[in-house]
Amino acid sequence: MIKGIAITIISALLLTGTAIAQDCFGIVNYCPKLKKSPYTYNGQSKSGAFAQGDTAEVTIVVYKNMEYRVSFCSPTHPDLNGKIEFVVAEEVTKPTWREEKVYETVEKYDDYGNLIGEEKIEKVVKKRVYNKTDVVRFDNKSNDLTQEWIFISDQTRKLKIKVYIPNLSGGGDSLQEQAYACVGLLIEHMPGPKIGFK
Amino acid sequence: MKRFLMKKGSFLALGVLALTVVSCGSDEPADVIAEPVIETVEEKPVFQVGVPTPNEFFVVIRELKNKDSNITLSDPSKASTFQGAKSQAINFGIYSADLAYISTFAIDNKALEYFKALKQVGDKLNVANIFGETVFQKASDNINNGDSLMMLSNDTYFEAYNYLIENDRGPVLAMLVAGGWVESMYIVTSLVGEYKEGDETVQRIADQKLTLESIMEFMTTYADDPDVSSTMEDLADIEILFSELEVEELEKAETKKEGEVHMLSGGSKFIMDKAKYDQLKKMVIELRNKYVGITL
Repeated sequence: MIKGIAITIISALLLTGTAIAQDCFGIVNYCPKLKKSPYTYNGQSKSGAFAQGDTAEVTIVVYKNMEYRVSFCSPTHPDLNGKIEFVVAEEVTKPTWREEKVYETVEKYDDYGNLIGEEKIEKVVKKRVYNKTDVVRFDNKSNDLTQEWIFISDQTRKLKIKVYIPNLSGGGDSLQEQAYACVGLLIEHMPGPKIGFK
Repeated sequence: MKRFLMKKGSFLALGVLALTVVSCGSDEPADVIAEPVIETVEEKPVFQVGVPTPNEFFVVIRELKNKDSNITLSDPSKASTFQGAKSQAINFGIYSADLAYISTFAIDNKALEYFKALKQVGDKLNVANIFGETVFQKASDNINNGDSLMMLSNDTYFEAYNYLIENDRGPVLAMLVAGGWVESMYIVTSLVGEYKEGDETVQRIADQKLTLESIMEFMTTYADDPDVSSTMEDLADIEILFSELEVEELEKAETKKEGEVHMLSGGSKFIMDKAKYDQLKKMVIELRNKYVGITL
């Protein structure tokens, strides 16, 4: 009897996990696209199950002179739409000068030219070093929480999209409803305006 | 949960725990307390890294180069000869890249052959159910319509990609992505031919350093699979070559809004000189020919 109940519980747990996973799978296909959109679906788009109140980070590569549109949606939790926060950052290398103390050993002589020992002399050496820092390219909190961002880059670059799923729990009764939201990160692209000769 | 990922692992762990408790309650003597088995199931961050597809790369290159119908693509008649998961997955990626090139550059009358080759390799990889009869009908109906073919080729690639993700076949997907990248590099270096100073396409090839980094990062997720780790080893020399490229620091990173579009500028770019380009081209040709079964 107990075994039977346990097997039911296990099955329910496993099935719930699968159901959540499958529900969120391909969710990005339900994100609204622009009408008569010139954009093409980009393979770096993502679908995922999220705990509300958590953050996520996705790295993408964008090509020089292509136009991209990044947008978010949560078809399973429409109350999240318009409230998802995101920041797009780029790791940029910045050169700086770093001072380092080095010690040189020099031989010491007396007035007659006889070696009498060694002496350590402190020197300060300047080294040019490159530090990597995140430069924020876009923050939707500074742009009325807009859920889309359109951009063109003058270089091919790697961008980090940091997403924050706000905690809006309280609406759903079940743990599952409160804990998970299916979110789609839709990326689209098209050639940017042509400049110069082919 | 902090990423775009699935939580199956956690549910499995709970299941294992529940099973342990039950077996304790039914079959074990009452005074024996079984220690709970805590199984750590690692969550695989499947969706952390975005990997640009060959289709997108060819759209970029189409803005810079004219088509060349004389590039020797992988022979579609060899589709049934690839043996083993690694070879099949990589060649599925290779045919996908060939199809993406054919459709993006509107290479005459070749698309159907490559759809069929993909179906054949797909059969062996057990992903053939993504190819309904409608795919071939649509390909046949639109054989001279580059835009429709491009869309169909895109859809086929993403269908395969999504099918493999959905069915937890990440290692196959990782090798497919690698094969697609190698073939697209082979095609684009063939389009460029000899190195030319200041050629924008050479710059896009140098930029592939970032794409390869992402692919390797993506593959690392499945590096426990011996086929995936051997594919990563195949790509290691190319990655090392990319890591040796000089980096030119540009002006300060800035983002300006022009109408609805934000313009990103500044940062850095990679410099590829003739020696590195020639070396890379040679490595790509050798690896690609090894994959498609050409011995020189």
